[in-house]
Amino acid sequence: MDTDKDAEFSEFMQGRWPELVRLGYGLTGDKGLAEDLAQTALAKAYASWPRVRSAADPAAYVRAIMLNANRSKFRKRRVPEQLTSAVPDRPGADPSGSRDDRSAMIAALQRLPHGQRCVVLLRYWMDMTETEVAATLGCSVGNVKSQASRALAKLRSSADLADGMVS
Amino acid sequence: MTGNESQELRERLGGALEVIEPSPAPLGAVLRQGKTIRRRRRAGIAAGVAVAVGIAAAVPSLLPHGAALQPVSPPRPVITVHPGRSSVPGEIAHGTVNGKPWKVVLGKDASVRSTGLPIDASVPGPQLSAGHDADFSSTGNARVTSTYGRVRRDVTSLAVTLSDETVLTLRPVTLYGRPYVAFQAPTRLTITKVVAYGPYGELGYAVAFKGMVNQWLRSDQPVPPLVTARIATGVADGKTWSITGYSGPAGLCFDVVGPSEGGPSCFGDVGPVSRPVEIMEVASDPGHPPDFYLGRVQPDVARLELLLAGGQAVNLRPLELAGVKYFGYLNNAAPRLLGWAAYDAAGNQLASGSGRQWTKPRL
Repeated sequence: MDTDKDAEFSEFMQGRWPELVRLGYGLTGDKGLAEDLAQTALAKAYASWPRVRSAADPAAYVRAIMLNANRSKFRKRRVPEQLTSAVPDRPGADPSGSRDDRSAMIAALQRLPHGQRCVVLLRYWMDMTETEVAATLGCSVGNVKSQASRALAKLRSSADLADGMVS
Repeated sequence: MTGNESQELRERLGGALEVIEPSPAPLGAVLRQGKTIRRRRRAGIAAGVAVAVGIAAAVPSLLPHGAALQPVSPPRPVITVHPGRSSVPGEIAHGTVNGKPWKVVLGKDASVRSTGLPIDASVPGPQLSAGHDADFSSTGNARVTSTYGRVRRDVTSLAVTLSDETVLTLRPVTLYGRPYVAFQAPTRLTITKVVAYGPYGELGYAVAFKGMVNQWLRSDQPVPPLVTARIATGVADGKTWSITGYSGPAGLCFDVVGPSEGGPSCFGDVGPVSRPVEIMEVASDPGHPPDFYLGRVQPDVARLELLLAGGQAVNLRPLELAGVKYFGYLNNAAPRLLGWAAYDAAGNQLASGSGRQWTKPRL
């Protein structure tokens, strides 16, 4: 890779980094893990940059890498337990209630199976069409529809979102 | 779902995700990690080629006599290497592989550009490892790999032997005040030995371990005997994994064969074991607990107990390699290590600690 292409990757990465981290946050519910995941996806993209950059939509390619990375067996089997010697600080009250709402949304997302979580994030946060979601996840449009339907049913029944969107 | 519901979900997702302020994009870390992936990929390709060649070589004995086969080993490549030309700024070396020209150029920013290969910024640092006549890095693709190295100032040439017995003579070129060498070769070939020469003859030599140059010996030092021992084995994902240690010409190296990405790890002069248990290497998937531990223990440690998240306890029996006891543990599920304890043969606890103590290798 020559300097121009390295610079090209750097520019691409700077542009996609926030979106990838936020997508990762939606997938993992943890900012640190989200940044790790985004970094892993971008490193894989860099390792195959000629192929990625020549793709019709390089950003979609990297998103797919990231979703696959998160689906890997290592992550599926992730042990959520954290070693800590002290009880974590409790967050202060948020008068607006928006923090609680955000936390509830993220918590509800984390309870969805990986496939459903991906569909929700791509379809409703990234505003992708069902066809685009299917292409990104490598499945059929019908599968996207059924995953979305099941995910939304779960979100509707989520106690955390009881006063939320889908009553 | 109604349009209102969709819109509300979009807004709530946006509200939850858009407030996340990512840390600055870690470009340097991504480039380094990407290069590591490329190197592993390349090593995998090389291993695949080796397996293919091995199978192909074995096939004739399985065929009826008289069944004619063409030779299966690829033709020996023709590699030429010449020192960098002063007319090409930063050129360490140039040459050909099977007639195809290559050159390796060092930039002022310490990045290396090789014909047809990704740029690499992992050029060996300003200081050579202690006792080394040369340190090497490489970049490559499935077809060819460029290897470049820093050499000691009194080295006048290096003779590099590749896995097909090809011997390349490299003459250092001084760039930005430091001497460098470089060559390009087919990726399927790895370094097996390097000899460094000075103005008055041979200075030292290094025997490579799976292509890695880890230890240099002086010219009058005999080749140390190779001692190998399997120090750990187990089953993960229904597949057997093993860790084999090698102590000898290449120094101290371990080869991990298992269901996940493994590969060799080599260590320099690690000195005597000064604590009951010493962790040498941990590996993990980014953001997750380690899934691989390698370490060593003092002689009186007969058993090592790992306490894992979920209440699982794993007992390891350290095994000896060249007078030192080592242990290894691989678990693809990567359960968090909560603590460990070392016991002697009589069952007395000799030492214990928390999992956090193993987060970083100590050697």
